[in-house]
Amino acid sequence: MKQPRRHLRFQALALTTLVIGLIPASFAVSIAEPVRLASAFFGWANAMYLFAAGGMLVAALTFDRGERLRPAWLMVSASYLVLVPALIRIGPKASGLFVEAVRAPWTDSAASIVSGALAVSGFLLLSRAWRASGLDTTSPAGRLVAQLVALAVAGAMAGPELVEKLPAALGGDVNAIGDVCTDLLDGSLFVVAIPVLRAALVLGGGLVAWPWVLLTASLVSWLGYDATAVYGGAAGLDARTVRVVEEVFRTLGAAFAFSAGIAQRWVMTEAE
Amino acid sequence: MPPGTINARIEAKLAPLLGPNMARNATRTFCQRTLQMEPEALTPADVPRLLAALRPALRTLLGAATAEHLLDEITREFR
Repeated sequence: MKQPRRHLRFQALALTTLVIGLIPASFAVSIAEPVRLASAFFGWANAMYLFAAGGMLVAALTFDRGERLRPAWLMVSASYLVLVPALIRIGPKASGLFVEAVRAPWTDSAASIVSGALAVSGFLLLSRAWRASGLDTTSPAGRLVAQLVALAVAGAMAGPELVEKLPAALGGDVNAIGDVCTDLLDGSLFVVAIPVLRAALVLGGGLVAWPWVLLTASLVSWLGYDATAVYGGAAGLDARTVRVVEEVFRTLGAAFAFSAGIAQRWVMTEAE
Repeated sequence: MPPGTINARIEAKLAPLLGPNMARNATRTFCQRTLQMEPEALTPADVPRLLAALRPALRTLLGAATAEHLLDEITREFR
């Protein structure tokens, strides 16, 4: 098969994922009533997390036991799966749409911490596998610059909330402790995932690049989610718009994770 | 076989999966690291050692079965 044709289904997968990302915006256009919109987002987020976990599980199971990338994909898959029971326990979130006391805040914090820890561990394994392959020819200076950029981005995303919540966390406020832990894990994720981005860049033009490119797209989407949450209000967006944009980025983050898993499977079956 | 053709054929086999730049870099890096030679100087006798050096990297990215399939294909080219 000619090389451009081999890339066609991966391009179609990426394009479809982008279109799926717009679906929460279409909910916002067609559902004016806030409680109904929150319910639509709730059901959609559950479905997307399950798809993400399933797609990555497919990737994990395509590798044999003992292969380096199998536990990495498994952990990132689990990082999505653990969010589902917590989401179901909490129910539709009012945030940005209507006023309601936060339900089961501890469940939310605990699930976010476990999910974040699994994602960081999974990306750490992916990054280590890439470095161990011997194909990463980035110079030490290049690596240092990339790490510093990642640290700056992580600081910009997690920093404001960390500064806000740290005093309360140090004072023993359990919700603030949960938020601080989640922020630290979110920040770490961008730093440990930098080799994944490098892999996506240097493998460009090859089929093997696709899972790494789509994983990078997933991370960038989650970065967009954090940026909207932190800076959306300051950028002049009203609370409802912030929530809708967050849901778009949440969908993209999960949908690209699903696509990355499927792409990994396709790469391996294509080459056989 | 004229000089420079063996590495070009190996790169051509790797390129669909690894991309043209990485195929070239991987061949050069592993030639220099493992065989202490430039890729243009490769002879058919060097190919098995080069492929053995590439094996762990390919197994990591593609899984054992797919990597072995690709390595077999390259090996057959030089029989």
